[in-house]
Amino acid sequence: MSLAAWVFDGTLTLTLVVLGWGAVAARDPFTGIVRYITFGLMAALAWARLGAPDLALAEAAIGAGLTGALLLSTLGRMGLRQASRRAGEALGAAPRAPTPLPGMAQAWSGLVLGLSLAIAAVIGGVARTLHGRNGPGLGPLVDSLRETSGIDSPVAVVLLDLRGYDTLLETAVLFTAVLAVWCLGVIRFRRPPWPVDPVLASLARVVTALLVLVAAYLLQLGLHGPGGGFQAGAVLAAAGVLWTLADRRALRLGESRLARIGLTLGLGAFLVAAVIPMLAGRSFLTYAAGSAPAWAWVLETFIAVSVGLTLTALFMGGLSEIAEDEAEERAP
Amino acid sequence: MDGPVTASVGWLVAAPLAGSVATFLLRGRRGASEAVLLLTALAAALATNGLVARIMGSGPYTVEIGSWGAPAGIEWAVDDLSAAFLAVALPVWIAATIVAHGLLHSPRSPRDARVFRKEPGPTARTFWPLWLLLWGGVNALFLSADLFNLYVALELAGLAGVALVATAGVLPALQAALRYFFANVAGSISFLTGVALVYHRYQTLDLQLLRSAAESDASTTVALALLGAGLLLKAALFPMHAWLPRAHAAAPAPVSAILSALVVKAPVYLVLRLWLDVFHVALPPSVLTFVGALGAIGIVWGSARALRVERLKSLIAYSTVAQVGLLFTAFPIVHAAGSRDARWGLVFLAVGHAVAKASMFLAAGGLARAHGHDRLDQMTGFGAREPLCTYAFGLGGMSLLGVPGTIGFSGKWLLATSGLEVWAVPWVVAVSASALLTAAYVWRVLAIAIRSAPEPAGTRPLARRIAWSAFALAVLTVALGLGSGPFVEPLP
Amino acid sequence: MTSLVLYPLAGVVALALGLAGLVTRPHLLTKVLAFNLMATGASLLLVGLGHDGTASSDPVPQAMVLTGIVVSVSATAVALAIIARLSRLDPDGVERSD
Repeated sequence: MSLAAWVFDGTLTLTLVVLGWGAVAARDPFTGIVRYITFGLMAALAWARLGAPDLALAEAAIGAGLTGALLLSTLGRMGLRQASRRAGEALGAAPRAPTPLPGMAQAWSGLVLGLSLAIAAVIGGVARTLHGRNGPGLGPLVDSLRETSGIDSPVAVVLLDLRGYDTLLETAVLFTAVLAVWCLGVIRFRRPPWPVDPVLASLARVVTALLVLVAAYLLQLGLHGPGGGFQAGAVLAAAGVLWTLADRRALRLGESRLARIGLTLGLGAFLVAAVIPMLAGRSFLTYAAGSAPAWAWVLETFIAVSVGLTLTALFMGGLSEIAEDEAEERAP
Repeated sequence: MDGPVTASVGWLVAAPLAGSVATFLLRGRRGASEAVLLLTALAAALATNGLVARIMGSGPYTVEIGSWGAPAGIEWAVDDLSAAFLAVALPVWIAATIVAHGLLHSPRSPRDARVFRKEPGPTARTFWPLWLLLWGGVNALFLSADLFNLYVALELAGLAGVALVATAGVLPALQAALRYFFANVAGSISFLTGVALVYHRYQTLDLQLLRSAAESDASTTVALALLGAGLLLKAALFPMHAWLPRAHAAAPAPVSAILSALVVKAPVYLVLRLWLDVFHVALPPSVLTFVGALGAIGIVWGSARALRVERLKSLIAYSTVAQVGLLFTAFPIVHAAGSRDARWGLVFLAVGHAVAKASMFLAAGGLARAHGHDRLDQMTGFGAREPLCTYAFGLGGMSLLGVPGTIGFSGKWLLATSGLEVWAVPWVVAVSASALLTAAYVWRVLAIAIRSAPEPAGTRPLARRIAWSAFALAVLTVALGLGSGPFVEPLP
Repeated sequence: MTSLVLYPLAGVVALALGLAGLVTRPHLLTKVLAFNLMATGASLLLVGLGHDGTASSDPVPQAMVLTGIVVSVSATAVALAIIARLSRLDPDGVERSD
């Protein structure tokens, strides 16, 4: 390929590696998180370069965006504790344990890094022999089945029809995450009036309308090209995150019955799609002939809604509850 | 086609997942949750029954998911190996669910046992959904015949397991859950890397197709190493076992039962499936020797630690490390002998451990609830107060030992005889000698049980169904042992 | 050999760096970054290996990685929830790994 391609790919991959190293090697977690978010955006570029626009969208929105938001939010929560702990220390609380010799730690890090790179070299060597040599993969087979299935986009036909069972389990994983977060975290805040940041709130109103439009567009585009339920859901989650930051009342949404139903829509829709064929005498998740596009449309829509609510709930970080007394408000 | 609707194997995955959605939407309301649990158990029982009946009738079979078979789609494969694990999983789940329900709803002791905490711990709103998700995930693991599908199922079971460990809410449980999490995620990514290499080498993810296409070359061997490393980490083979004892000890007892019995078994089953079945042509035998040696060290290490720890659940957790080591010590025997008998020996051992370990953990849960804690030195004489739990623990321990009549004995016997036929002497010695070490820590607990001592303050009576569930599982090890009699032929 | 081979190789390097970070770095949040790095590396390997000069026409690895991204964010959220609660109970413990 041309020199320009080499220069571009070389620069991008080098940037990826340097940013990834920087994220993990950073002295303080905040720098690391920022570098990781940038790494995620570079990875989105890489996916675009590799001809995977769905992945580029998902990586940017979920991998870099939402993951970064989660990390920063957690860091913020921890920061409050440590600030109060340090204040306590200044007043004579117990000192921290002495750290081990820096030399030992560096030797250990070096050893682990060396071993990891050695393993990577082995895998890389094998990978090079596999690169583009063994055939086009399942691509042609998928192409030939698209017409039978009725769904246009190759990625969508794999996600929702051919390997829909994987996607079903994936919605179950998302559901598990919400349950875990709800079981672990409680956000307490004082009785009303709820703090509302007016600037952020008006911004949120405007942007939410736009984001819903974008999400709907991605959703309907997804069956024919890049996009789809997960990406649309991530965009909806962006709106959700914005609302959570702007207006504390949004935190109470976690309690509402509508929100709970919404969280289960993705998994629920898939289970319905799986069980109806079983009751009709066919196998698990076997759509009736020709009905795949209809099912795909339904599933994508429900996935978008539930992924949007799920990612927002993950960002909120826990079930909310109103303090009975004047307990200290903890920031989300 | 999959047979009559009620016996369809798909219910094994669909019912628990649907149950988790249902219990979540019902907000843990008492009567409704019980109804959902009953329905789920019923569906799972019917599906398991159908599965076993079909495989005993017409042999191994596959089910296409969706209208596509491999290589475009995903398939479920049921053979004697997966059927054995799925059949045993059912009673383990039912017993553990009964105990979990009992612990969740029975009155608490005044000195609150750290087994279940109220806030923000496992309220019924999130516990049952997570429990059922784990159930579905484990079933999905045993059924799946597709490499990437296995990855997703591993992540589902792992994440649900981590969440359930963390539901105990206290600091040690959270730390243990986080360690478990990191071990899980490292294992999963190693597995995923292996999947990547396999896919690009063979252009398919289906295990049946891979079995016929597998060749011995560098990329396959590296892929097997990656797949195996991930699974061995999840199975807690020495020296990658550090996360297990704390996680299984800190979790609520029914959760520990499922984790030790089933969640740790699935990776063992997968190593057996991938290394000795699908890709056996590409596996260098020295790898099995290495893994077997690690297993032997694990037996010694786990048993030694079990003799030293102060808490009953930690003891049982270290026993799991030892028993997993035992299972991997049997791998070289299975490979060298290559016989059906040897494979069944390993399966009996694994299945026997699942049932025995679950009953031991459930008994420990009952004892912890009765005493308010699980410190061994303050439980002296519990044999007289809680005889059922003691019998459960004892019977389970005997199956681990390999006392004749239990399924543990059948497994060890088959492995020993197959191993001797191919002169795999060191492994046979390891398998047999592990009984001594197991006896040591089982006896440690029983000695404490039978020593007479005044009843400690704060002891409460235990709900009957908790003790009976643990005992019933322990009896199952004997029932299975007697049932496996036809497989076990005397030496000529 | 096209320049696209650089991507799976970068993925492998990312795997190594992530593993090293996961094992050696004490701060729990850095460990979370590390495993996310590993996951992205594995994904680059999965999608990147399938190219032979033209842009990919194989949607199966893309679907796999999409699933992987969603699974990763779920796992990250769970880990962060545990870490956040841990930091409430034991503020110092977050900076040193156990």
